[in-house]
Amino acid sequence: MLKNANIAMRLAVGFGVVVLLLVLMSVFTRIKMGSLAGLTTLLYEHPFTASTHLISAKTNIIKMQRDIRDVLLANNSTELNLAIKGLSEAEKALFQDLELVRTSYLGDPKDIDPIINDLKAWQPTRQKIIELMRAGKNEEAGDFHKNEGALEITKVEENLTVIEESAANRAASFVKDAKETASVTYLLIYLLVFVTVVASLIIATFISRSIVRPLHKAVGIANRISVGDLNMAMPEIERKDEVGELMQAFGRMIVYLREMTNVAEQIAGRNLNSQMRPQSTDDTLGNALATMINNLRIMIREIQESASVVASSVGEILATTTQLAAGIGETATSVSETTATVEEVKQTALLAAEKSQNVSTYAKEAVLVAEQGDTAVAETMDQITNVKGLMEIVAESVVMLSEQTQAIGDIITVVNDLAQQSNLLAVNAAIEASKAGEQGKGFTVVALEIKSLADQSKQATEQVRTILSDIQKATGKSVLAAEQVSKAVDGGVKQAAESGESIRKLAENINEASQAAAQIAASSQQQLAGMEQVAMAMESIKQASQQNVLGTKQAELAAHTLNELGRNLKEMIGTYKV
Amino acid sequence: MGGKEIDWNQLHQRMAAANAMIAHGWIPSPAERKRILKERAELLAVAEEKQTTEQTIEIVEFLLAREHYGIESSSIREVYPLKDYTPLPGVPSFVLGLMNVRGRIISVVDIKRFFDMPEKGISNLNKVIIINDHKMELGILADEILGVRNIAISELDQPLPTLTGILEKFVRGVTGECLVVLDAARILADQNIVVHEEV
Repeated sequence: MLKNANIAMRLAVGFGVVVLLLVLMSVFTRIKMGSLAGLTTLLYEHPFTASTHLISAKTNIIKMQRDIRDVLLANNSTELNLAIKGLSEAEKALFQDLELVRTSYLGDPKDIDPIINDLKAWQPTRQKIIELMRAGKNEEAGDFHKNEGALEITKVEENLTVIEESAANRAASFVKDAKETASVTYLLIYLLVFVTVVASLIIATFISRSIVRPLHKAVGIANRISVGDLNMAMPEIERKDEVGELMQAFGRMIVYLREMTNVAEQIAGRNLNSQMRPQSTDDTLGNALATMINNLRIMIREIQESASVVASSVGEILATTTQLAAGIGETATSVSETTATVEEVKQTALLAAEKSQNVSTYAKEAVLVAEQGDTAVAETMDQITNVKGLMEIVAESVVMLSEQTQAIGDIITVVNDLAQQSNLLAVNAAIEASKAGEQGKGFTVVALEIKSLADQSKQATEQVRTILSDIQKATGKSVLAAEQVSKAVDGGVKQAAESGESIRKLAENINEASQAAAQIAASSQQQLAGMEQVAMAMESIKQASQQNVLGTKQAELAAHTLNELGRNLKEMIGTYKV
Repeated sequence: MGGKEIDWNQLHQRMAAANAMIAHGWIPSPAERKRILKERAELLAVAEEKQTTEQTIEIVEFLLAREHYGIESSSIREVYPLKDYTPLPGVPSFVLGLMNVRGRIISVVDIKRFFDMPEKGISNLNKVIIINDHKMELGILADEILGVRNIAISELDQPLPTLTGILEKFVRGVTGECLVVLDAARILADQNIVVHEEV
């Protein structure tokens, strides 16, 4: 119960208990003091009162006995009634006295009851006496009173005496009691003071311990947290007081710190996928971590992209460097070749100088030859003109041949006619021969022969006509050919003239060429000097290109290293989970 | 003047050869002559054999509008070139005209028209075959006289039964070579061919 109470309640309860004890003690002391005073009063009041009433009661009993005697002695009813009246008054007073005794009696009030009961038991006896008296039986009543009534009165008197004695005893005991009570009271008061002191000490210890112990625990936790140790077990929270709340707060703090630590560990483990949720808007650490994760993510992505770019760029650089190396190698080779070529060119320039001098010489000779050519062309023209004349004669002859074939054609026509007539004659001869019968048989053969000859003649004439036609065509072609020759000769004359002209121009050109050759010879000399300079330059280039080869190889190596680095960077960045 | 180089020596030789040929005329070489004679002898020898084995008739074969016709030579007096003929007025169209053959006047007939044959093919019509019997003489126009030849009678088929009309009367038979042998005697005896009109 106390465990669930907060410290204020606990303090209140503790002090309350102490105060209560003090109050109790003072009340107790007051009561005891009161009872002592009461006892004193009782000692001096109650036994006296009781005794007084007891004496009154005794007096009333005596009065009642006297009244009964009056009754018994009554001679008439008036006396009787008067006596009865006195009896009942005495009885009434007796009961009042007894009630007073009962109230003031310090013993058991029930001790009074037997007296009352005895009195009540006496009542019927008295009633019987009265009735007997009324009935006039005085003697019987007297007897009755003497026997039974006397017994009952004695009883009552005895009881009253007991009460009286006990009241006296009571008074004595009161004094004794007062003395005892006083000593007990002192004892109790000492006891209460002792109890109060002890209880206050216990409560103080308990409260201080209940506050200090969990606070010590909390201080221990706070100390461990302060050095970053979060591995402790979560404190069990059994309390609902401020310390319990403090522990709960520590628990939440540990949870929060563990979350943060977890996130930080994931970040440390290159996992940036963890979602950081700040506990509140005031969560500076959480917000900072969230921002850090975001920034790291962005940074890692950028680094990843950059690494890719770097990797590809380095790859390109590598490729380029390799190509460059190859190119420079080729360049070196080319330079070597060029150097050789320059040497050749030098030789060639030398040769060119010599050759151009030769050309000059040849050109002079060529001019002479060209003059001879010109003469030859003139002669050719004369010859061609002769050919033309001859061709005209040939054409004339061919035309004459053609005319003569015409004459042959006429003759052949006549022969053909003759052949036809011969044919008919042969048929007629055959007919005649057959008419002649047996004698004409031989003639028939002759006639057939003649016909055959006539047919052959006819065929021959046909052949001759064909041949003549061929000759005619051939002569036509010949005439045409002669004409073409004539024209061709004209063309030849023209071309020969042009040739002459060309040869003359050629001679001029050769002259110019000879001059040019002289210039070439001079140029070749200059070229030779220039080529020597080129050769020196090429040597320098050769050395430079060899250095280039070395440099490029180093660059290639560097590019390889860079490539390796780029790949490593990519792999390293790749381990981050974004 | 491109082309081949002319071999003038060869040309001279060829010219000499041609001259020699002209000087000797068309006399064949001995070998050629022998070959020609042998050919003729063989031809004659075959003809002789045919004659002896079969009954033959001798016909003169001629061309008329590219078709072969034949007339028995016994009916023919002679063949003659068509020249100097005189057209006659007032005669049927098949009569071409009159002709003077060595002093005798002969009427010339175009048998194609006479037979009412269709005018087809190209006709030369420059020969006349003169047929005669004891009563009459007639000139028949022909394109070409091909010659005299013997035909076995057995070779002659009768004219086709489908051949009707005027031609049927004058056809003696047709050989396997589509040679139509005309019957000259019937042509001469036919009344239609005799022009007898009184004006």
